Amino acid sequence: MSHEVVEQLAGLSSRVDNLVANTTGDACRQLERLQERLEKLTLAAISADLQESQSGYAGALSAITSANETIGEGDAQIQQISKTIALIAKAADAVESLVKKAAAM
Amino acid sequence: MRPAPIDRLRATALLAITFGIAACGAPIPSGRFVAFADATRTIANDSVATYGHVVDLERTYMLYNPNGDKLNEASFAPRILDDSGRPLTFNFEPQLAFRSAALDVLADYADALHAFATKDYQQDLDAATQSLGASVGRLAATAGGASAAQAGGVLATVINGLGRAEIEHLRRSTLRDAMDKAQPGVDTLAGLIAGDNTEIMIAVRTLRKGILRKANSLRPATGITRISFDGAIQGVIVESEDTLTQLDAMNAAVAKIPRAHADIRHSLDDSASTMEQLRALIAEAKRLNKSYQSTVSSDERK
Repeated sequence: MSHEVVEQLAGLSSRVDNLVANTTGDACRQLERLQERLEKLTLAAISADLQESQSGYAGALSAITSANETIGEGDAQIQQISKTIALIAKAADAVESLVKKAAAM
Repeated sequence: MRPAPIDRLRATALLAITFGIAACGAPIPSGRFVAFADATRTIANDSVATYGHVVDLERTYMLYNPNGDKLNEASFAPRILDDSGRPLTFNFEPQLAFRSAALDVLADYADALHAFATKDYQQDLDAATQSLGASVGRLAATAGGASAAQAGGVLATVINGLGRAEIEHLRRSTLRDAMDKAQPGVDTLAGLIAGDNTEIMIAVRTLRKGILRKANSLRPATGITRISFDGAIQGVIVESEDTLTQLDAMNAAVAKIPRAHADIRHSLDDSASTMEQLRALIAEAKRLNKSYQSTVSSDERK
């Protein structure tokens, strides 16, 4: 079992939640959808009992870390919101793939 | 006149033999086994309600965040659909069932030790052995993995091997062997239960956050409807906070079980043992039970 992906993912979900409050329009709606997806993926990742040794684990962790670092605390105005959204979506895709692999094992 | 050296040697040897016989013949300190069994059973019993609250919270989360726009049989199933529409589940019930079964195995094992440590034990030991066998079977059927099933099997094997020992010092030596063999199994089960507690706590916080997020978008603007809505959300917050407190207390208590077990085993060799670890386990079990009882009282007041 490993807590790192789960902890980082819960942190990303929380940061995206803050970001939703700081954005408007289409970006805000996209972020809301991503936030709900990240929330459910956090729960799915916990339920899947992910292992560090699992293939794709390091890649997923790196994608989440990268999205977390780009958002920072989420309070400041993000300059390139579309790039940030793409990074968050990439992190969500990586976790989804990891959870699917764990479920198939 | 001082006794001759040979007489002094004889006197010392006689004293040592007398103490040796007294130690061998001393009754098994069964009160320690009672206390260990009671504390372990308290943790196992209270965990059922705490895990039930986690499952309730998961259901509430799905009520606020159902799958899809149109209601159907799968609307409230805890799952997320991937890009191609295939479901990924996040049902925590199997994980929690494993933890509950593992705690029952530890509690049944402690009951069996307690039965064996007391006089006229055979009937109680038979009952405890049957209960342990059933709990180990339940543990093996859960999603806990091979190491949990193996650890449960070790405890069942040890208890099955206790058999009859009418003479006090034979029972003491049988208990020593049994507890030595069981210690790795106790360590493994307690470690597995306590190990994934962090993730269960993250799950509780994530579920609560998801309910609050959706509640904010659904919150009625004004009036009594708003107060009633807020009351329901307040209930979710209070209950989830209680659950987090109980999970924390449960983890602290479970982490103390292996050391308390080792403490009691050590006391079979050294009757002057301070039993600090057993006291620490009892204190944690009391703390957990107090937190659980206060939640029950608050539920009853509603």
